[in-house]
Amino acid sequence: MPRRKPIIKSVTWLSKEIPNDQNLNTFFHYYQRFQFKEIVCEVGDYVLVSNADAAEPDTEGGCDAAKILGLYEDRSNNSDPFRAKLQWYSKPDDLPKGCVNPSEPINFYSKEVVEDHRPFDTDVSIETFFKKCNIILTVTKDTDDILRKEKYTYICRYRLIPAGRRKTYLEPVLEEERKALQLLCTPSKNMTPKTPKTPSSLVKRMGRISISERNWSVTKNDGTKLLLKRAILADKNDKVTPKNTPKSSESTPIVEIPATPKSSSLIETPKSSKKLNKNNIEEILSMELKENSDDELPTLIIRQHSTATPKRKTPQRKMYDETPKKVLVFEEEKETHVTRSGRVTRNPVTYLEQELSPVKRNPRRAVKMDSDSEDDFKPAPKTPKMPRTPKTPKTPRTPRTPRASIARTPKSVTKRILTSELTPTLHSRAHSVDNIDELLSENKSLPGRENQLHEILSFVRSKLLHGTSGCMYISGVPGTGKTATVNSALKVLKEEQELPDFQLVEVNGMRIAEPRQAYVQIYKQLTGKSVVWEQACALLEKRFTNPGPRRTPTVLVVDELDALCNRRQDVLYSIMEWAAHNTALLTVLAVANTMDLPERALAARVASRLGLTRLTFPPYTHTQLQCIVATRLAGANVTPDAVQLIARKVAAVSGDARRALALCGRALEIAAPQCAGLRAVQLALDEAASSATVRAIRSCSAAERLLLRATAAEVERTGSDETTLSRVLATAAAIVALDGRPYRSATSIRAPTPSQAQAICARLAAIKLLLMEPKPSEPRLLLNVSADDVHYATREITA
Amino acid sequence: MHEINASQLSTQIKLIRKYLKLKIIEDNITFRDHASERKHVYELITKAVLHGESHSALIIGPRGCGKTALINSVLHQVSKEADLVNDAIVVKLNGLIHHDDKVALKSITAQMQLENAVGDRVFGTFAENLSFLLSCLMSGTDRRCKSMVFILEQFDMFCHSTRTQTLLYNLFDITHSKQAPMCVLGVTNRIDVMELLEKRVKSRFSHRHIFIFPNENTENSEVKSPLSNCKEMLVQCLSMPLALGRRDLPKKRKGRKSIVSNEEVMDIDSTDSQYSIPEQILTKCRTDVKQFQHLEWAFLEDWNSHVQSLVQDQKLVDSLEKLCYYTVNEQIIKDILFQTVSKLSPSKPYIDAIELSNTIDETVSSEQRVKLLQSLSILELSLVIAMMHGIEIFDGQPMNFEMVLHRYTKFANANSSNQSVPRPVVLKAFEHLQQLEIIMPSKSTDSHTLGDTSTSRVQKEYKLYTLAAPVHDIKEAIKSYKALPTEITHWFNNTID
Repeated sequence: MPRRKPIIKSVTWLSKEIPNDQNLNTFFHYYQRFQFKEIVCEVGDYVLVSNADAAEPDTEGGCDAAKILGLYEDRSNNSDPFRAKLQWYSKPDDLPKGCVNPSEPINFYSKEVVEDHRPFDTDVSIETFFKKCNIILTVTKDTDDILRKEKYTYICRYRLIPAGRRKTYLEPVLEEERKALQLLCTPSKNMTPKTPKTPSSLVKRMGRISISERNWSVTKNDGTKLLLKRAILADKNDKVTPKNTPKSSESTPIVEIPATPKSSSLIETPKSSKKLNKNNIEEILSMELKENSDDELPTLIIRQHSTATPKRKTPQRKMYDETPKKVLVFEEEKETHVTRSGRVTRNPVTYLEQELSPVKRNPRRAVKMDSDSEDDFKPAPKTPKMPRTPKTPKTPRTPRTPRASIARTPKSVTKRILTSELTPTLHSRAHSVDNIDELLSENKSLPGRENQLHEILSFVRSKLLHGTSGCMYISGVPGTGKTATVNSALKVLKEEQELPDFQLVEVNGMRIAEPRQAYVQIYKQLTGKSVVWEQACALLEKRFTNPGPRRTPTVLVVDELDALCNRRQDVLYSIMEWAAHNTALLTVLAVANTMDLPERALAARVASRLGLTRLTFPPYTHTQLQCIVATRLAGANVTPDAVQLIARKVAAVSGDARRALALCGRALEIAAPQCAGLRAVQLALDEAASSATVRAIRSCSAAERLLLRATAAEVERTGSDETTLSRVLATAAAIVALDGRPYRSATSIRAPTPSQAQAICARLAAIKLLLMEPKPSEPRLLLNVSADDVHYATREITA
Repeated sequence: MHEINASQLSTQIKLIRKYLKLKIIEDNITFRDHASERKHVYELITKAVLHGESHSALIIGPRGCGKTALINSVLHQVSKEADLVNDAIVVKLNGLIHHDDKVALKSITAQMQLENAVGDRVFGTFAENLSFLLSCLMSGTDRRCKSMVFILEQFDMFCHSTRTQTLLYNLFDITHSKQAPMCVLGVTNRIDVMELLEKRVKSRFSHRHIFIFPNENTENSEVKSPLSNCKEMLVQCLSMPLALGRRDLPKKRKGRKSIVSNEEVMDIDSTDSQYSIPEQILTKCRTDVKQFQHLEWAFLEDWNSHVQSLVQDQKLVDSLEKLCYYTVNEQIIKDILFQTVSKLSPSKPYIDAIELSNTIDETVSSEQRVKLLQSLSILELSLVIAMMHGIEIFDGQPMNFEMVLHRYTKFANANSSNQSVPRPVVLKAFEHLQQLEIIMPSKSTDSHTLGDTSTSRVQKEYKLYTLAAPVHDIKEAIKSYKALPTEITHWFNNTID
């Protein structure tokens, strides 16, 4: 045991070094047992490993379970020398979506883990171990009752096997069961001809049961007797009485172990069950012998696993613990009858159904029944004639749902918002919109952006394939398809099978209240939890800066990057800083509308981290715009000339595709029933140009126009833009003197008085024809329109 | 013409007064002219409400030209034609009230009655509300939700120059990307409003500008004569709907000229809707048409003919022309008419043309500052004159109390008739001038570097002030000041002494 630095040494080895001949590297020293804080573990034990990506890594929920395969000390690594090789076990929530066959949904327990063979990093630091835990590997039909509610104990029934980069599937974790299943699935078809005497209907039914229902484990006699024996022995709660009921007319002995014989009374004591267990073993052993003698015919052994544990459950409760899996009960009953009588007859068990149906259909009522039914239903189990039904496991999910729904109702709105339980919805309308389909179908192609799309694709692809982080800065004026291109690129990448799966996070700087809310948004999209920004920042920092062995790559799209700039620029800094860590597996696509944003607005430390990968979206040329309009408005009634006019007009100003499309739409509207031609386009262009200055001046009152003229004349005379009101009034007086009487009843030919002029100027300033600096004694005026406009608009009154 | 006794007359006049007041003040639905602009807005709103389309537009026009009335009248029409209550939510925001995105967001949430709002109260922080609202709007992509009509009054106030235009960006982005059916109408009086928008916001806007200018005939965009418009409006506002009146005409009269009266009745019915208040407004003001059932038809006819004759009156036309010379703001005309209607009483049952002209004159040339100066005491006015002289001599340099006092004492000593005033009294008068903001502390002192802290430390006698009243106003005030000592008038006219 090397004790070079005893102070920082957090892990002590409790065993001798295992000599490793193959390993020539002298740095690695393998051990069997270690102690880290209070955890004492050895190879083969199960541990909980803190997950840096989880919301709360220091709780049970934030840890992943794993089995220690090997322990070693890497002496070359000074910072983190104590390593462990692990086999990961994942929580059901972490499983990929496609792994569970939708036709056979698996009901996972809350304390269930799945042996995960996906290519995670299996080499971790021992210091990330959180707790020692226990995982019980068991057959698929087992329930979580075997956990006995012990802390840090999990059930494992399945394992996840990757098949290709994205595809995975689940299979039972125990090898014996896998084999059994395989044998049952494949030869059951071949078997039928072999054993012609077995009624095909029975075989079929049995096959169906065994495959579809997890509560059944079907074993075949191909050397699986051992398993059967072991399984029965291992099942401590098993109080089943196996009954060998070979069909008299058939040579194939079908071993049937019904769950509970009808004779067995409900008030069975644990003792009697033990006794029965002994009987079980004996019978099974005898059965084994019997089967051995009859080698050529395969034997189906159907075992019903009963989880009803009389030790823990009171007899009264049993009835109401029934889960909706009642179909199973019937199947079992029927089987019993088939095998016993040799007839395939359906024995109706109506009584049971009546009792149970409300439970099954209405979970809410079930809870209610649960609370008050203790007294009402007490006598029921005591009736001796009542058919004894095997207990199906009480799944934890079934009762949880109604309880949650009841609990939610009295909560106030405040609480619901805080826990973000609200589903965002809008009030639905009374009359439906007539043309829904028309609106939904929209051409999403992006003509003229093929190069940019390709660049984004190759950038993200390389980052994902190499497992590195990176940042790309995408710029371009508004309406050049930046966001659309990024979105379509990511859509393409999501569908690509060769790439590893990645998590997509989108943040729009304009859609958040303030820059720091970006943390909250990112965190919410990563984990689905809403926290305050300080916490989100800390958690994200932890996630992206610490190496995580089980991390999926993240692609972060930051739209409207400039809106995230605050004075400290801490948000941008931290995002860029995370993207600089290769272990973060974070690819940032930063989208903004200014090309020189990194140089102009960003601090040097942020700009340097932004990196050199830049992509510029140039404004659309008129040919591209033409193409876009043509694809987007395919089938619209527009002449090609009109489209070209719009394309050229827009390309000359901004190259904004949105504007071109809006203009086209407006032109179509103006032309309405007819084909939108050049005239309609011209009208639409005029409307959008917003050059209403002349109209505005014309619609002013005479006195207002007079002051505008005077200001324009003053501006032209002095050459400076700014004048004062008194000077304007002097000029106005001169103009009035030339023009003559302002109105017919005017007593004198004079300009408006200063206070009148001030009121007039205030009105002009309101529509921003003039800019006025409100200085009470001497307001200063600034002409906000060109003097030429004023002259042109007021020509009529001089003439 | 009609023999109506005094009590009957008083009730008639009171009812007419009440009706006209309601009509002038409350009627924000009736909208005249601008047919094509109205059609455009109508199309936008109906498209959003009925077809679930998304649009954005700006309605631009000077103050008091009827932008809001246009929207109100369109909404009124749409509510008659479609199920506006169940198919749409009208969200009204005002830039003056919702000065900040937080307030606006709360108001939007409350008006849309989203799930995080209970009544008018909205729960959650701004960030939560924003993300919730946005995800709500995203959920409207299927177009099965109610259409939203956003009306942003004082649109320019939403274009914050210092902060990001989050609200506008999101609203326009939704209309542009057609997420939820939504029609965003901005109402503003600034013709340069587009320059206020950020370029990304501008790009998402649909570039529909609907300009409304007063006196513009929409058919050929020619400027209509403001005077005729003004007359039209006067008739419109003051005329009473004849249908309100009881028709208890003597039978024999009706029999005598049956054909003529029948024609008249027809004629009246057609013009009737023109002068009456829309039903909606009456219900909004919690008034009932039955209140006006005692109106005599004959009296109303008489009243309307009186209004018609009023418009023909040459004096009134002259003053209306004068009004139109200065302003074309309909709101101002309405205010004048309201003042006139308020003056109606049983003793004065008709509108006096001269009185109306006087009201117009007062409105056109309101000389508030002159009146303020006239309300000053002689001592205070003397100080103003002293300061005016001082500023004239020193070419606009600000003055402090000591300098003003020096000039004043010089004048007071020269004129023995003026009794000498102790210094504290003069100081008090000076302070009063400052309170009235006739003099203002000068901001731009020569010592820029010293800043405000140093000026506040200066003794009040030495603080620098500039005269805020223009010389013209002082001249006017002196001219019409009652019982002003001649010395002061003389002193005022004699600059150098």
